[in-house]
Amino acid sequence: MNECKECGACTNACPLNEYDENYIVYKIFFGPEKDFKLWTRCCSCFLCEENCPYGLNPREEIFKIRRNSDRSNIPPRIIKYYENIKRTGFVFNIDEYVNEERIEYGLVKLNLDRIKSEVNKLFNI
Amino acid sequence: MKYTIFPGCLISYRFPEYEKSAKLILQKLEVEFIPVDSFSCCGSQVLESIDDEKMVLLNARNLAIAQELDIGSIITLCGSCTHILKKSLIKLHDNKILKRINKKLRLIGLKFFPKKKIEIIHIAEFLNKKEIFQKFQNLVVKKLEINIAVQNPCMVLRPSSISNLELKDRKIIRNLLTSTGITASSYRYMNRCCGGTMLAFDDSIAKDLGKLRYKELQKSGANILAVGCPNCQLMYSIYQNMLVDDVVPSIFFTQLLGLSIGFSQKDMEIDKNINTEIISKILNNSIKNNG
Repeated sequence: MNECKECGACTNACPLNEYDENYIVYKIFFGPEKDFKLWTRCCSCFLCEENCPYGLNPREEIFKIRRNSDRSNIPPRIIKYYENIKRTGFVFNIDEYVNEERIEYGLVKLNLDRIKSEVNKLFNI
Repeated sequence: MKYTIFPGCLISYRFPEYEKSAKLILQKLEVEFIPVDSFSCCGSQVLESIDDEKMVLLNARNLAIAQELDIGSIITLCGSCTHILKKSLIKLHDNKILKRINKKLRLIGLKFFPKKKIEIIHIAEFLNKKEIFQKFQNLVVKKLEINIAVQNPCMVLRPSSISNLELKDRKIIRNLLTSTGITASSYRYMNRCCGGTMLAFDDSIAKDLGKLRYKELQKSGANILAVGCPNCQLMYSIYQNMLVDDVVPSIFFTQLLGLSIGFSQKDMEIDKNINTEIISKILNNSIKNNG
């Protein structure tokens, strides 16, 4: 896979490089695979992929490595959100209060029980 | 063609005005709209970072529910939802994945049919469809004398392999707004991502990225920022207010479009915005000038 020519186009485009010089966006092709900063140095904007002259997709590589990484590297809030998804079908706390507000806005009331029970079945909860 | 809106969870949770304004525009365009009450979240980058098979499964359920209702087009409002749904749809055309997924969907009495045509389309893309854009133009009754900047929803436009949009489509939101007579200013971060997904992964980085953006926004000369994603709205409303004194208020582009086609500020829920006072002042000045 290592066709990265280190041209730096991704690095110039990456918003996280305005934050610090981690350059995760191209290091993922060369660096150690277990770098935990992969969880906090990618905003999923795909500017790297858009700017790469060689058709590489660093963002997808970062996400692949995240999926294979140790659970201990995952930020606690992300784990909490993941548990929420499996338990309720939503990242955020969507409850009957949210539903009441939806009705006030003329929006369809969500069938929270159905969503919860079906998602639970799909994810073996 | 039957349409529905996929709101995702952040809109229900924080920004129902976006869904309402989009829905009212679709109704005015006389689109055949089917409300769906049982969509879950798309899982966003949270699920995609942990288990992409679960990401496909969660969204295959959403897609199967839409197919059961003969819906041919799911209109999304959020960048993450747009990307995740499009990506999941592509993966479901792989037979091996489809087989595994449908086996699980059977547990809840659902099935995804790859041959049954269904599209995922962001509201801005939809409004730019030739016939729809023309129809929309014919509905414009009010020219808002405001100067906007745009923050593009990055995952709606990129990557082009998933979005099927090209560089030339970058201005889909801007063009909709300027076509109604609104003036647009350049904004350095328009195509560069608001940093919103960082709020979940590392919010101190998100705040630092935000501060860079708020500074540039002030330099742009725009008096309102228009967004097309709840992640962007979170960054530019709640967080901008938290981090700077002189905010440039942010609003969903559909709320501005709704005003242009004659909906009231109440219809468009302008007072739901955290900066409603500033926005109302700008809009009311604009209307005065219009006569």
